[in-house]
Amino acid sequence: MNNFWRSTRAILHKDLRTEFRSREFFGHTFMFALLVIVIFNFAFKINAQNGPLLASGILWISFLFAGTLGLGRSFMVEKENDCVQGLALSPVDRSAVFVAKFLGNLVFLVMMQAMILPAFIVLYNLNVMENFLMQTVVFLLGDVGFMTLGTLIAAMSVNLKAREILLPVLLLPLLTPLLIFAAGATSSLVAGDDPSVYLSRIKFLAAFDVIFFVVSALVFEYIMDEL
Amino acid sequence: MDKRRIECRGVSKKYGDFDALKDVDLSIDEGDFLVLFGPNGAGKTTLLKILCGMARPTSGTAMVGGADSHSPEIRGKIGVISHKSYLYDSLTAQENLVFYCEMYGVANPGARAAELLESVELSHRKNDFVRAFSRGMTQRLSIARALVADPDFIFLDEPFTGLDHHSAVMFQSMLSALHKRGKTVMMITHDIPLGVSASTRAAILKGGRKVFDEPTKGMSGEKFMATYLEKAGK
Repeated sequence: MNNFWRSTRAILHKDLRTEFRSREFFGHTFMFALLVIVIFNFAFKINAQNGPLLASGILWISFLFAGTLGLGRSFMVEKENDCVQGLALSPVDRSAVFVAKFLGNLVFLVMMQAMILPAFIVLYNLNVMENFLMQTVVFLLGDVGFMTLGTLIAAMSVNLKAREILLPVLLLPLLTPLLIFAAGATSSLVAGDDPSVYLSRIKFLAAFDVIFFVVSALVFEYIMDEL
Repeated sequence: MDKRRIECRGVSKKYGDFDALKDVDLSIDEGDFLVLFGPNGAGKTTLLKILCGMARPTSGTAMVGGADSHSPEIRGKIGVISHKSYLYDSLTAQENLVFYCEMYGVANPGARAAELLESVELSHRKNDFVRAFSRGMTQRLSIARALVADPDFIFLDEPFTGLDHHSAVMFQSMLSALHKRGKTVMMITHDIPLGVSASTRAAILKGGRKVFDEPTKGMSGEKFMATYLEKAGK
């Protein structure tokens, strides 16, 4: 195993271990996402006509809000005892730190989604996972784009005094295109639209992921210098 | 350039309009123990961060072991001990060391971690979380962390901060043993008698500039204190 993947695995393993001990990220984000879908369920009158469109948007908003809540913690743990300097001093490519943090955040988001989806299907009486394979692809592509930008902005905002406010303020506008296409693709799949409709949205999500992942991994080295 | 030498030439660092370092030249030979003094805000930590590869100079060059201090190869030969431990509170002592061994590509991380825990007399607490450690124990573990890859260059930033007398004495003897093993050491401290007695050379920074740099052989703490007051002011 080369240096890059060995250090990525070490950081990921460390983050998963500390999270499974504290359950802070997972517990808080799951509860928040659950509250969002419950509140929206009371706020909107969902029926067979508006169901696919509204419910898909609500689902993705719950993922984005809850995921953003948890993102801040991924770098806060490194500020404890200045551990981020320990990472910066290690003889590893700094993009390995980015990839490990990204993968850790992705794992927690996917776990949270796996718990939220059954609750959502029961509450909204709408099986969003009917086209299981394609819907899983949409969720994964949306998650990758979300966590790529989320990990980068979380690192940039970790030293700011008002980081809890600034993280969503900086991140959510950048995620707007992703939200539009991810919710659109989910909605098309639930409504049973022609494959060309959701496939074009899936292509956009894939392009978004590739562009932002490459850019984020490249600029992360300079962000590490300022942490 | 000598692969065992630390050298910076014309190093300046700006934070916005503030000049933290102004045209600093400094070289530390293999096996030297340089202690860096200066009032708060003199630029000591900034210089140390540049030499460790944790920050980039605005201008000038910082070389460690014949290469840019930012290169990953050189970072693997550097150990840093600060008043911050760089240890994870939610991991045990053993887990912290194994993590850093993996980050430095050390073969057999478990065995190396056990060996280091033994050397800092913390084997009996290896499965305890760092959050349960006293300041002295945390600092001993921090030394073990800095030594995972058996570095050639050791940088210390006020490592005695918050240590009780017993821990300070133990830390000092470990530091002395490392220096005797041929490690090149640079330490920042405000403790003049301790710094002068431990070092082979002393330098003073003031206002981002180096104002003094001489061997400490035969120099008493009192004599150096007078020099310090003259160069750096009260």
